[in-house]
Amino acid sequence: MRLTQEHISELVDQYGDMVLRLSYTYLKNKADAEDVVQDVFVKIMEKYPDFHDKAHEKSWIMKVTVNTCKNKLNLIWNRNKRSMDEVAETATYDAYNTGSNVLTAVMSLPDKYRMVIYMYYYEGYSTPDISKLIGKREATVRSLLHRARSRLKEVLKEEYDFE
Amino acid sequence: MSKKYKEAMDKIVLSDELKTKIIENASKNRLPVKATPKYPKTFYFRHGVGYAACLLLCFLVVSVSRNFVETDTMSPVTNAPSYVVPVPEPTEAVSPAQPAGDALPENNSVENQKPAENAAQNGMDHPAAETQRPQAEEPNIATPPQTQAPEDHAPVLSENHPANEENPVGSSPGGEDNQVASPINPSIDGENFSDIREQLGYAFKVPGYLPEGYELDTVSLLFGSLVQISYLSENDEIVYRTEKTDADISGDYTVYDALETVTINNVDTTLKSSDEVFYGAVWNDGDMSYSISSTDGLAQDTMIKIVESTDYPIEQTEEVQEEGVVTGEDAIEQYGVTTADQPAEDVYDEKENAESPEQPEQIDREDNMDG
Repeated sequence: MRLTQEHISELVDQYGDMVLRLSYTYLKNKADAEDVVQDVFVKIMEKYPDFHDKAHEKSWIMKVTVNTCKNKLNLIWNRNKRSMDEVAETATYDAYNTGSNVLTAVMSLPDKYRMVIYMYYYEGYSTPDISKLIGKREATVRSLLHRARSRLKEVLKEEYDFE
Repeated sequence: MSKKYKEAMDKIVLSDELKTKIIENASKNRLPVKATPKYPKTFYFRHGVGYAACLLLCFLVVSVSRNFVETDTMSPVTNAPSYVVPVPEPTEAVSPAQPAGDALPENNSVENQKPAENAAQNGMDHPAAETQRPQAEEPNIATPPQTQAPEDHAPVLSENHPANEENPVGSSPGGEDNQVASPINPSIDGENFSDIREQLGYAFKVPGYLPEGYELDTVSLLFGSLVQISYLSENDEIVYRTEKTDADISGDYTVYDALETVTINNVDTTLKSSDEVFYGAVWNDGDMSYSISSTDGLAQDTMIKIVESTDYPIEQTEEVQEEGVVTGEDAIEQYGVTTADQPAEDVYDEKENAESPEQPEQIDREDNMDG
């Protein structure tokens, strides 16, 4: 299916922010996140399949984004020969100047916790859906959510509102 | 939903400049897309490798498990000569006493029957011909070694769990209902627990009972003072915490339907539940705070069992006694009365344990369970 410029523009309007938020959550770096957004939409143009519905389309784009982020992280590691922890440590947590302690706390979590928190509390996915998106068991996803919430409770205390 | 998190994330948006750039790049790279998606060449290779890895893993698991299963196997009798009347299979297991002086082989396997069969075939009167055949049936009725935990959900623990080293599976250190007769007998991963003990500078209690299917996952020391132990099953996680404080250390601020206080080991314990499913327990013994949390929730009696089994591990017992935390009558008072057959003095005899700590008599939980 050949995508028109109008269709491309529509996809960017619809999913651009989502891809950016997901990338930023994963990479914790604004520049890298914006690079990933560009890469993701190039891939979307190259491999845009037929979708059953909008939900299917959104899930597919999220999967592409997650995979692109993983590749990006490996690329950063390979180029600079830094440890993966160092890559994560040097990231700026509040690059978009949200001024939010909650966001800072979430971004301070390990990546596996950040991803499930984002997908569950922002995108509103259920644990079965998250397990399919990130390729982990449902029990694992529930466990990750539980541990992430525990850590956030300790850090945020009164500001904690992840119910 | 988290309102604050959502508000913060809503501020992360693509700038118009970036959107324009993305659309331009995407347009330049715009290619005709094939109508039907085609799997990449690596798709089948990756899946094939995955299936092969699964098969290999299954094969390894089966071969390893066979080494640990002790069963007497009978190799099937094959290649029976056509001119010999086949040996009828006995229908009942009979173990006749061996005639005095008969030199019967010790091994009752079928392979040793063959001389007897051959003797029978040749019409010879072999002393083992008749008596050995029934005995060969014994392996069929032999009870396989008990590898399954008793029905009472005694803990099925991993090799590194505290209770496995001297408490074989099937027994538990608990005594009568709601009473702990002896301290925990652990097979704790010495390095992890010892490191934490060293860093803490004092002994800490650990759960001695876990429901079936749970295994030790991680042991951590948080913020230099909070001990956290995580146990995982297939679908649930139990997190145990202890810290020298009087605050609630569970980290669980969920509002539950019911909070009830029960006395376990002479300590008031708050149980948190919703719809009769128990998700947490918190208590303080005057020195340390404790909490147990379950993601999926447990039955009330299971939660209570875990709480009442929480005690100092064996290798910490000496240090605990030296520290004066658990001694003689104080220990009895703290950990409950023992059974009538086991005088209280036998549990914590300070003199004996100080010199050569002996394993207190284990009371089989099954003997004390009702029904």
